[in-house]
Amino acid sequence: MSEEVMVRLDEVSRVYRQGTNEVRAVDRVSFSLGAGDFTAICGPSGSGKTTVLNLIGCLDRPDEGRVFIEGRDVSSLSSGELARLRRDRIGFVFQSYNLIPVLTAAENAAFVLELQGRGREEVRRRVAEVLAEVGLADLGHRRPEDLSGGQQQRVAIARALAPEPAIILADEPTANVDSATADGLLDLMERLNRDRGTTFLFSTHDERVMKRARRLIRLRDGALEADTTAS
Amino acid sequence: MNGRLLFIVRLAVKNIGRRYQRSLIMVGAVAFAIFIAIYYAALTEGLLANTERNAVLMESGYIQVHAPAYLEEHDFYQMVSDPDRVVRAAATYGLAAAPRLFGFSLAALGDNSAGVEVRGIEPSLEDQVTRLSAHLLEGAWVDQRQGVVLGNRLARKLGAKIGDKLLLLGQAADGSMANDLFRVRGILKPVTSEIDQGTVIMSAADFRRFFVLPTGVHEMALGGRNLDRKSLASISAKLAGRLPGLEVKSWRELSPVLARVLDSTKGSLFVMLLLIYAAMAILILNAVLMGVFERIREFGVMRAVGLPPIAVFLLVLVETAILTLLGGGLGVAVAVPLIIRGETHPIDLTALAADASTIAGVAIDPFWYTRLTWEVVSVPFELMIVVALVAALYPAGHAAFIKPVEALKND
Amino acid sequence: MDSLFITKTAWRGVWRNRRRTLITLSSVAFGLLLSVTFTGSADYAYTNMIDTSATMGMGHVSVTALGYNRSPSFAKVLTGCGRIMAAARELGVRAARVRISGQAVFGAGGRSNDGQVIGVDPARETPEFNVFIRKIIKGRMFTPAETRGVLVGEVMARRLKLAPGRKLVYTLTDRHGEMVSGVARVSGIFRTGVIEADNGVVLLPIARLREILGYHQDEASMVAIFIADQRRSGPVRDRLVSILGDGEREILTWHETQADLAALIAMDRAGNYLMQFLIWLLVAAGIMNTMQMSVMERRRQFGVMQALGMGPGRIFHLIMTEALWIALCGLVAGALLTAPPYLYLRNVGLDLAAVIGTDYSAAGVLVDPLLKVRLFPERAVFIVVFLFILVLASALYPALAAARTRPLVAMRHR
Repeated sequence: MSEEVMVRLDEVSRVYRQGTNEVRAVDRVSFSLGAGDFTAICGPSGSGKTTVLNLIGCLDRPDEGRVFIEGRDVSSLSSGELARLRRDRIGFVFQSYNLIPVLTAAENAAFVLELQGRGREEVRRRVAEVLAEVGLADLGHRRPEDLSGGQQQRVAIARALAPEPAIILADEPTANVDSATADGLLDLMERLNRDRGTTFLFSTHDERVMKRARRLIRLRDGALEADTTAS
Repeated sequence: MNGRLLFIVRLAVKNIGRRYQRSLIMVGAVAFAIFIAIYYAALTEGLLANTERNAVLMESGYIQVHAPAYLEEHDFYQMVSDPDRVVRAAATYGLAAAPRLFGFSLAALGDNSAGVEVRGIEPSLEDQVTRLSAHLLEGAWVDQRQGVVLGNRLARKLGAKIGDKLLLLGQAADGSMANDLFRVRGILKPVTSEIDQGTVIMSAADFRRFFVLPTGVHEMALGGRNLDRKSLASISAKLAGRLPGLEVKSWRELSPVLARVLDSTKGSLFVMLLLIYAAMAILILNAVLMGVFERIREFGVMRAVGLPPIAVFLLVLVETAILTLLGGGLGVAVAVPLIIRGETHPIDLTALAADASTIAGVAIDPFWYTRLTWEVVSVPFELMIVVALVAALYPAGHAAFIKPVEALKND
Repeated sequence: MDSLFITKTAWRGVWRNRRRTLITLSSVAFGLLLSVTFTGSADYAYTNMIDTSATMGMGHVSVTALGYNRSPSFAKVLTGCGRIMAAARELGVRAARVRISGQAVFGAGGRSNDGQVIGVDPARETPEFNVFIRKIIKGRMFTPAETRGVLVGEVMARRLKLAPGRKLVYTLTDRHGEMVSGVARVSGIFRTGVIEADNGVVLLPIARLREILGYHQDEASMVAIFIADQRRSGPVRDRLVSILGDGEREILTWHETQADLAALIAMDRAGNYLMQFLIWLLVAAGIMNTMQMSVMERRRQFGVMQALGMGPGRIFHLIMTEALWIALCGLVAGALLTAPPYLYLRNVGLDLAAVIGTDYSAAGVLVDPLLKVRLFPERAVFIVVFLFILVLASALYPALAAARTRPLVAMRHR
């Protein structure tokens, strides 16, 4: 694990007000993620895991505290700059419905690269590379509807990987697949983390995922309950 | 069965309320289409009524009586024998009879001259049959003083203004040269191209003096109350029976071209409505189809739970019917006040067409009035319901015959 | 982002739901069919009427003395006809005719009738530019030798009991305001089908009229000019004005000389366009509805795209590109749908005589009961451009809605 800090949360809160009621979905949470981390955030439903992921992913803004991505304070960024930050530095793997149905697996994988405006040759090369990495080298031409759940998730991982982001955020990536496929996905992500040093942050309530993570951040009612690192 | 139908209707209403955004869109589209259809129908009715009015109430009256062959030959000496008989016969059908005299002369004013048809009328009787006296552009109508009223174009051709002295030269009944000066009392608005281009109207007394024709009448124009097509035909026939030796013709027979034009315009109105509705039908088909596909799971559940296909079919149709009725009602509610206003506040087209134009010889004003009749509202409305239900047939059928297993797979 | 990528993605997005897209395309095609047919049939009818009306007297462009159009009289004399004819030839118009015209009273056998006299040169007049000669039903046109010949309309002939060979007396006021008369023998009888003309127009030899009215050889009432394309009446008039210069004359187009025809055409065209517009509005409503639904269904997808870093501008661009594809495909579908009926109507036409008869006249011109179409290039361009603008405009609101989806909210769906 290197010392480069990818993500830092500093007393971050996300508060929802309903009239006089105040709900703290995230309550003064602080932690840092370094390059190459393989971390899971867990907790019962309603504990704020997804919200923390959204805050790190710059899909949401904190009401209190600050979020730093590669040293940059995201609160100072406009929505356009945030979009570019997401595009270039953050990868997303959602629980389901990750892919654009009308595009092939290869085109889905290429999506962020296309957003970045890279040349056709470069895109082609990188897509072939990441598809091979996730074990889908020959399935690039298939559409999502012709891929299994596990294969779709792999394409999502390939897409997240392609622009070489600072961190890949995965929101319950194994929730919608059977256990054998889940294992396969976790193996893949572990390998990517080990061989390429890709930083991963999962949110999960799946025991298997939690077991595999090297660091476990536990939330309860929006607040940090525990932050343990496996030895 | 009734209980089941009521259940379906309640379910339909609930469904509509639940998906109110979708429902609103369809109601809006139907309302818009109906509004256009009704308003267009009202405009067409207005145009037709206006044209018919111009022809009938301004000029010909509903029925005319002549000596046989007068219409063909316009012989000055072919007169209606015993005009009183005609007046009496007309009275039995509640119609007034206005006598008219026709002659030719040359009209001259300054450098300009024109051949004109001189028309002698009895102002008080004429007023009972036509509204020509109220159709003046400027000046006053004919009365007991010596004076003439000119057709619109004729006045312009001669360069005549109110107060000018117009010279008329003609051949009198006794063969002598008739000539006299007449003061221009009034100028008409456009009526028919014949009147506009070459008619000079004067009192019957002036006419008889000028043409030396003490007695006799060339034409009796009958009118005074509204005659629809059926009564026009029947009364005309009956009068013909009561007046042997005279030729009795309705305005439709006198102006067959105009009659045909008015009839065919109604036909083309129908074609227009069909086109509007075709566009609307595609819209409805689309909306209902989408509505069905969105809820395919729901329908699958209904069928799985045991609702027979016919019930699902009816459900979609009832939903469509309710939305269509709502939309139609809304469209009517918006259109009718506008139409009522349009009856007195016409669309002003004078920017496009400063002159009146003519159709089949009758002037059409560059002002477009609407006219509200029961059919103007009912025909588009009924047509809309038919079109909407037909458009909904395919989606309803599709919903009714889904296999529950297939449907539940979705979503 | 590579615009090829957006174009490709948009294309696939459009065809994702084939049935819905086909319905949308069919409504666009329908709109196109309607527009082409309405516009084309109107333009054909108008051109027909304008050309016919031109042959009824004053041509597409007419040169007269000042004030003649307003109130025609024999006192308003046009001089220098030779020079005007030369100018017309220089412009390369299809034809130019010198004519004398004014009001007269006609009498025969004790009966009289009023109407208009048109003096024409039988050596130069042809059926092509003279509807009265074209529609002779009895007898024939008078020859240059027959100085006392006359051509009369059918209705007037009936009223005055005229047949070829019978005598007709005409009375008019000459250029000094004096009443003068002439006698002629009927050479032929015409039937245009328009009562106002058949009862009101008489053709006489121009030489005889010059004699009677005291006109010089180079004088007449008008020079009537005929052109191939009535749409060019204005430009031709302008060029004629520049050639002939200012003078004691009036150079008018048919808009002014046939004002009621122009008025009728203007009103009819307005109604026509209004109807087309309303139908397109319905089509637009359908497209907007469809696209809105299609956008709402893909809300989550747009959320994901935004999460990945695709800006609202690009998403807007994507939806608008879908609309562009719809417009293009709709245009193609419309062209396919429209081509057969258009070709049929262009070459064969639809005979509506049973509906409107063969004697329907409007603004004093006979309306041909044969429904044909004639789509001028600029109109076709306009319709196509309008189609595109309409489809794109319909997509604006859904495109904006798509661009404005907030990723978090959107991804909560499905």
